[in-house]
Amino acid sequence: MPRLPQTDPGITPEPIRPGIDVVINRENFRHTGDPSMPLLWYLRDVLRLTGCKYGCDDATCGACSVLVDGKLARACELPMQKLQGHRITTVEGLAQADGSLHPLQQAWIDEDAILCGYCQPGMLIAAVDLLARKPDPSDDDIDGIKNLCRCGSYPRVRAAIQRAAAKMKGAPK
Amino acid sequence: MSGAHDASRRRFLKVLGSATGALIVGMQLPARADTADELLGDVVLRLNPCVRIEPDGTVVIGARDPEVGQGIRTAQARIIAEELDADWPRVIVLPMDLGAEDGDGGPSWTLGHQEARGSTGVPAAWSDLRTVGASARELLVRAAAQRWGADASTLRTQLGKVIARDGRTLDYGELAAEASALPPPNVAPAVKSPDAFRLIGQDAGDVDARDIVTGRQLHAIDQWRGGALIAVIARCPYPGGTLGNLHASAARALKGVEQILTIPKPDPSIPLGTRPLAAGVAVLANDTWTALRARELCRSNGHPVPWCKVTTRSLPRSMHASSRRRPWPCAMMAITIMRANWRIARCRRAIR
Ligand code: FES
Ligand code: FES
Repeated sequence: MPRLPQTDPGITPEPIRPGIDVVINRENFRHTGDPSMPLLWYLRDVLRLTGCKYGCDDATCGACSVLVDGKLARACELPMQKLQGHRITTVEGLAQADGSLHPLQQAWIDEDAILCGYCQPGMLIAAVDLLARKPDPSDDDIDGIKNLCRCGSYPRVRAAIQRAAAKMKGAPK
Repeated sequence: MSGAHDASRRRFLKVLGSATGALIVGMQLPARADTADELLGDVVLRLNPCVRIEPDGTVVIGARDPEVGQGIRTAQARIIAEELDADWPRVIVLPMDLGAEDGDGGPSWTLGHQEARGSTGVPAAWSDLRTVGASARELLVRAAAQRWGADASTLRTQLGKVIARDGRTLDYGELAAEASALPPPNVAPAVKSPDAFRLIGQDAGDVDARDIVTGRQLHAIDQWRGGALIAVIARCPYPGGTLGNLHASAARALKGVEQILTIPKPDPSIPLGTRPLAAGVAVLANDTWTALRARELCRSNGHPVPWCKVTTRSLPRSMHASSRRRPWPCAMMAITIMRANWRIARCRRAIR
């Protein structure tokens, strides 16, 4: 039977800090700070996952879009205390672990849908959510994405979503 | 091997070869007296702007201006690549060091302007970048002419290759070492006419596209240096207003708040640009959330000023009132506005 390593009596292990456990992009994290801190600032300031952008801070622009348990949410209005045990996906978690891109990310590059790129992480997350609900979206469905783009990338974003949808239809699930 | 020629009164074209056989062409400010040896160490980062052609044909372009989401890394690199006739998929863009040092009366640039402001990035770099690209191309063509014993004027370039009339080709990479040994052009080589552009103004892809779609691109707000605090500002909402008495004890008591500073009412004798916009308070904290919460807790009995009555509605009203009192200056203003509108309309027609 394997023996457990002896604990050195000279070292007192640090007490386990209470906090809010979340899974972000398939990794476990515990938030030990202010429970009212919105997910947006936990991602950006604590984890330095700056793909989640700060746009308006009042749930209007969608730059901070994330998926919580696969559903679209705005990180700027989600306090950490509501997230115990939830699974969160940010734009950093869309690609595979080996670096291969999500079909939407690839379509974004192929359609050159990027201008300054500030709104694009949020757009991508909103598009993932849309295609999960409607694998074959009409242009109207796409226009239902209310994320704001100051650069006006909407026509190419639409084309990129259509391209990815076509690609994903053919792909095995 | 190195050489320099005076591209203008203020800038020099530099041509260097690296020990690994790369060709390096860049612009250098005469203020920097680097010898070729000094430059060879981290040459890509010290020449400005510059292009480096590796023996394997990879083209490395040093991006001079800071990228904060405006796409300048793509725009400036494409200008060099265009004149060079580079093969865009084989272009790598690296950020260059920031060259700023203390000069008399403020910081001065050592690598030329490296700023992101006022839509000046491309216009300021335009002719330098084109000269650098075109000079590198000319050197490569001359190297190919030497190799083939051909007349340089019979050769053309396309997608990172020199092509002879009879169809023979040589990759830029194969010519880099020889090109770096040639004397730099005496006069700035001719640049392309716009209708020959293949990259400028065309869809050629953003060099940061992958970083953007994976969330790794750092915009200005995403920059963070170890230990930096986050500052948020609350400004007095009235132009010319003052802060009054600041009550910030509740904000100070918040865990993570490091400092609370007051910003004085703008002093008109301070030049614009360094002058604060309005009286206010700045909260410095360890994270944004704490800073924002602390800002909410700051209270002040700011003094409203006469301006605080001015609204979008009140402005036309007061204009009408004063036009009755002082018709002449108002008529002048109306003429100015009419002329401006007419010019705008003319520009619109020209664009269409
Ligand atoms: S920052 Fe969250 S919606 Fe704008
Ligand atoms: S690409 Fe700039 S805000 Fe959308």
